Formats: sequence, C-alpha cells, structure tokens
Amino acid sequence: MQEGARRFSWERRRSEPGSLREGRKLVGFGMAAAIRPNYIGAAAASVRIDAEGRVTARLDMTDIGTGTYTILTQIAADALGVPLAAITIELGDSRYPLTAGSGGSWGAASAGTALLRACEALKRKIVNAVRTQPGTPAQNSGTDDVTIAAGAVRFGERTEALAEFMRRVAPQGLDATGSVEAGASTESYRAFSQHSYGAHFAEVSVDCDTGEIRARRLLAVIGAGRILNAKTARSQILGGMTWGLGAALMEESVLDRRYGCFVNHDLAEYHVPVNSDVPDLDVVFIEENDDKANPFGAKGLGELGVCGAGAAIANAVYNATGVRVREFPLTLDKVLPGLATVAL
Amino acid sequence: MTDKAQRHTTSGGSLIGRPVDRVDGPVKVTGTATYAYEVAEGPPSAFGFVLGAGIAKGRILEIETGLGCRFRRVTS
Repeated sequence: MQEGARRFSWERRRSEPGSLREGRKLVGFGMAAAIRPNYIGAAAASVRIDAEGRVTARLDMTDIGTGTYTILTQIAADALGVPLAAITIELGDSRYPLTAGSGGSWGAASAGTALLRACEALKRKIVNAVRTQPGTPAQNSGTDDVTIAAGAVRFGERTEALAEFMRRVAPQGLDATGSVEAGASTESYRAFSQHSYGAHFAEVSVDCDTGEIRARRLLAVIGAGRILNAKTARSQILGGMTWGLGAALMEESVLDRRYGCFVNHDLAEYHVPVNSDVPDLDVVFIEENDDKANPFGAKGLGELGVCGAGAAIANAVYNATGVRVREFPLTLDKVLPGLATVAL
Repeated sequence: MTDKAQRHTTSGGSLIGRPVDRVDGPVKVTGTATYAYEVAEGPPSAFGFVLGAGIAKGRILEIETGLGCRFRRVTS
C-alpha cells in the first residue's frame, strides 16, 4: 500500500469528498486491498527426454490464455538445465497425468510443482546414468560432480552435449513422473496462513452535469511471491483490472422477473470495457520468496487483478462526489441525484 | 523489456521469472493452434440438438423418432 500510494501520488487526494475539481469534473482517488488464498491442488506430470535431448512434458492441465504453456516451459528448462527450445509442453488431454486444472489462481503452483518434481526425478535418472557409465571419472562420486546446464552434461573434467550423451547412454530415452498433493493436506498449509496480496488504486472523474464516471488511472501493486514470468503475470493482472473496471462501471445482467430471462444476454447490450474505457493501467510486483508456499515460492496470481479493482473505483467515486454507491455497476443514474448538493 | 531478458537461453541464471514470450503465441496469432474440436480421433462425432417441448407442463408418453430415423446417418 505504501509503495502504491507513493507511485500513485496519493498525497494529491483530498479527504473531503467533492473538494477536488477540474472545471466541471469532480476528481476522486480511491484504493482497496486485495487478498487471495494460495491453494495447491493435487497434480501429476510425466516428462520424457529422447535420444536427441528433446524434452516432452505431459499434463492434463489447461491453458485458458493465462500462459501455462510458457511458464511450464520455463520451469522444465530451468529444472533440467536445457534451453527453452528443447522443451515441448503437451496439455489438455485427459489421457495425460491428472492435474487440478485452471481455477482459483492455483494452476501455476499446482501443475508447476508436479512438473518440477517430474523434472527433478528425470534429472536424477540422467545423473545416475552418468555415474553408472563405465570409465567415467564421476563414477562412485557424489551427485554434486555431475551438472546439467545449457544443454550439456558436465561430469568431472568432461563436458558432453546432452543430445550426444543421450544417444550414447540412453538412446531409448528416459522417463520420469512427479506429483504434488493437495496443499490443504500438508503441514505447511495447516501451520501457515498462505495468501497473496495486492493494493489497487484508482483515479476517476465524474461529470458535474451528467454524472458520467470515467476511470483515469488504475494501479495494482501485487505481492504474489516469486513471479514465474514477468510478462504473462503482468498481462494477467492487466486483464483482471480491466474486468474490475467493467464490473464497477458497466457490467450488469438485467433479469426480467416476469419471465425469468436475462434481458441483455449478448455483448451488444451487456457492456464490457472497450479500449477507450480502459485508462492508464499500471502493475507493480513486489517480489517475495514464500518458502512455505511451494518449491518456487510462487503464489496464486490471476485473480488478484480483479479482486479490489472495482472497490477502488467505487471508493474513488465516493471521494469525487460524496455519493456512496453500494451496488455495482456504478452507473450515472445512481450518482446523479447525490450530485446536486456537491456539484453546484 | 530488453532483448537480453527475452533471449531464450539458459546462460546467466534462472529462467524462472523472465518475461519470456508466450510459447504458444505464434500458432495462435497465425490461426494454426489446434482446438479440441479439430482433433479427429475415434469414430465420427454425433451431433445433437435440444428440441424444446411445445407443452409447458405434461408427461412424456412417447417420442416419435420414426420420421427422423429414416434419414441416412441419423443415429438413435
């Protein structure tokens, strides 16, 4: 919150509602806190390295546009010490090892941990294959003597490309699996409160005469442990903030109580934000390494973007106008009656 | 983000956290990504259509399928 306040020039906010004006616009600042529990769902993964050093990982996980393919590629490449281009992630097939799927901001932590363990098991098999090679200096020595990095195996003084090593030692390829149990059943989960946090900031303008509300700036400051991919993480938060804006100012399912149908059941009448509705958005990650969460120290991220974004806007509207609206969306008809006193 | 940060390499530290471009980006923007619908496996799919009843309250005594089943490749 302090970081966000500093970046958002929170000191410009006047605590008295309706006291900051620009011509016929009332300007207000608002903020809200965001919190999400950090869940881990039971998940499993299989991983295979072939004679060419190519790695294929399989999970029945989903990628609903959040970047799962990408972060799992990073996790596997990082764990195995091979380039990203050597990794193929195959998802979305129910014949593959069972995962928790997407939902509750738990996909990356659940599937990622299972894949990490599968890769660690595979790495142990590669290392064992090195050590059992007759004539290798690493034989009978500790695991520390064998490293895999940048797509090469180093044992003792010798370095060999992983593909060459695989062709020579295990041309049939090597397979491994890994899994993670549901977080709720672990000691670490029972002993520690595990959450990710955020602070949302909003600046809005409200037209004195029409009551039209425009969001001008939004900022999210996010603490979700270690960020697995700075780009896809930022995109997720930007998307969440945009939906928070939509919920706060536009989106509403209107029910016809006579016939029980939704009146505005298409995107022509159910309003969602378009480009000109979405103002200057900014996202800041405050990285932390939560060693209780999972092996990466990464925590659920996806829903922090929407959690609190709408509330910050509603608070900004109150700060601008003195009108406290308790029901989303904040449409102009809800603020207009209260504007008469403040917007003379 | 700098080119350096996006470079696909394992040299110089962890790959975790880097702003790597989406690995599925190229197939998606070129329209070559495979959707579940496009994965052909097993026998041809059967397609169904929900037909609403014309009577709001009643009991189903019989479903007349004879006419429909005369069409080629209609399954019952």
